[in-house]
Amino acid sequence: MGPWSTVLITLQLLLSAVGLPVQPAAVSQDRRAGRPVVATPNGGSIARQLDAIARREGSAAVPPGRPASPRSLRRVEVPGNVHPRAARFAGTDGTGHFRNGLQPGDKRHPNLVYYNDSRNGEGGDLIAEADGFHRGETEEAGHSHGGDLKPGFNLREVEVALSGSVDPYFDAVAFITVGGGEVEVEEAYVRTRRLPGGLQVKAGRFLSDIGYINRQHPHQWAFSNQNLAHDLVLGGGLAENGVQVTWLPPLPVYLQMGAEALQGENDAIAVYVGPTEERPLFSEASGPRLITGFAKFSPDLGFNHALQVGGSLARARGFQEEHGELSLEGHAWLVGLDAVYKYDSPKPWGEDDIVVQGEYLRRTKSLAILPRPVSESASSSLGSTQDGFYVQGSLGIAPRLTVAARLDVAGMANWIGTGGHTLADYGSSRRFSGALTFTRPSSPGYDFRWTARAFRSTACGSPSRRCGFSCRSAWARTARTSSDEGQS
Amino acid sequence: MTRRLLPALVGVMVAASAHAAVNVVATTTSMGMLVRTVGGDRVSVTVLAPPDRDAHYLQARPSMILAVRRADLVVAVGAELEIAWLPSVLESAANARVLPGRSGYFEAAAQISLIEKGETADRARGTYIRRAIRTSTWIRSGWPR
Repeated sequence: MGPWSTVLITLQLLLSAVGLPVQPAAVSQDRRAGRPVVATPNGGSIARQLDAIARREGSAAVPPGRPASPRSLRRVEVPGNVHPRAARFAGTDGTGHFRNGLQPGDKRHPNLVYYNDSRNGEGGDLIAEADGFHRGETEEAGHSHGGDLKPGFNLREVEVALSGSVDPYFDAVAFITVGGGEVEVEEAYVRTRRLPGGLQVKAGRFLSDIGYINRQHPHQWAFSNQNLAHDLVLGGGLAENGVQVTWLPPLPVYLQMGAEALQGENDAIAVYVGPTEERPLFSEASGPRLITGFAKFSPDLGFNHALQVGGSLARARGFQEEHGELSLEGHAWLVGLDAVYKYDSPKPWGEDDIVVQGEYLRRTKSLAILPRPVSESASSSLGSTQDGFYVQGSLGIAPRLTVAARLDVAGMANWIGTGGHTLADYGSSRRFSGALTFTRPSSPGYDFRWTARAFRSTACGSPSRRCGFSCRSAWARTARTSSDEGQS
Repeated sequence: MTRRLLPALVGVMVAASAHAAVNVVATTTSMGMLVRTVGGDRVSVTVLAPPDRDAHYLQARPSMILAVRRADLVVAVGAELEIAWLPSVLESAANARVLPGRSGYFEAAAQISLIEKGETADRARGTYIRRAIRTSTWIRSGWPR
């Protein structure tokens, strides 16, 4: 073959807007003179347009023979009907100063946790060792979201959220966390603004939209840690590089459908090792290795009530697992169901508000023991099914004060089998959690939230070789610079 | 303001089908009343925030997203009243017609000149800052008659 036998295809997506400095004001506006806020969703090319508007404004705003008054600016043909924060989304800062790129400082979430447990700080390990949930050797120790808290004070992370418009067609969003000496890109994606028919495409690194809580950042959780189902069945949560398409059809009821093609690097449902010197039997599988689909349905229950139910499905190929000397390879399925009910009371600051939510996740692995035999025999394959759910509820007992309780169980179905025979059947692990949260909601400016939480957890397997009990408590404090109400 | 709302409404009425009523989403009941006054029976108005609720602190509901998804025009109060929830509703609704800057988005506060705005505000100085600023403005420029 000649030099053309290899074709390189590279689709490059550059979030160049992230690094752009804030541009100086292209149009300086005097709001006291009553000039409307100029905002436009366009990018750099529109700066010229704004300059033209400013020039026209300067010459025509005060017609000869008429006294200058703020009302005379009515004739200025600018799209002045812009929501200030939306204007930030649209590429301006709402004060008339045109900016390009992302607006840093939109939100910052320092997350300080005081943690202690009854097992000298090893209460988290108990959950990691929950019976039946093999944590492969490929898994990195600990999770970024809370399994690895030390007794005492922990600055878990500082999350910085950046968002802005790239041009009329794309928004860019980035969530960067700094903590434990590491900088992690939690999310960094571009999202379309103007696709027709209720379509939206997102590309980059993002939290998958499967289920309900997976989309939320840790500071939005009602508890200071992730639930057992997501922790054990979904590796703490699904954040991947990839592409997402969602569709919101114009129906009388809310129905959102979506699909994602993800790289497949999750350490619970899309484990990929690849051929190495020690494990030469693993095959090469290029991404995307994880495909997901989801649907969310919500009937209109009026101002006070909101209900959303959803279902999701994911399939990972190239799933590779190491068990001692054994190398296993195959695929994995994930099925999820979720439901959320919210009651928004007329009382201010969350008093009497109710949130009840629950999710169920079920993972099925179908793996072959390598090397694969020439003829597929029953003994060469290994299957396992594991599931988990959580149910949690919160109630606003006073303005700004919320109590929450949660039950999460992992491993109701928890077995490994081969060719119809069960090799091992483990028991389930469960945990009860309670939380008391003080929230200071606030209009724009500085926003502050103080949270106190206490946990009681039991991760007790059966047959109970490892049966344990631990009390855990954590006080978490999250400061916010902008209100970020979660989506129902 | 009504005079300014009228062109916006006429604009979307021309754009929309001549037979169907124009779908207008108003963030508050007061904006809804304004739209009904201007649009009469040519508009079908959906209000997002109930009158007994503080429009600062609402949560984005799927029903809001659905309403904006089907809207020809969104009419908001502005001045950062709906800042906590309207941007995320607009984002999720995937309706390019009603994005800020397009003809299907109308914000009342942007049509007038806001007074007592642009002063330095710092929460460290407490919540009576506005009153203090107003008082200092009056001292500088004379008490309002």
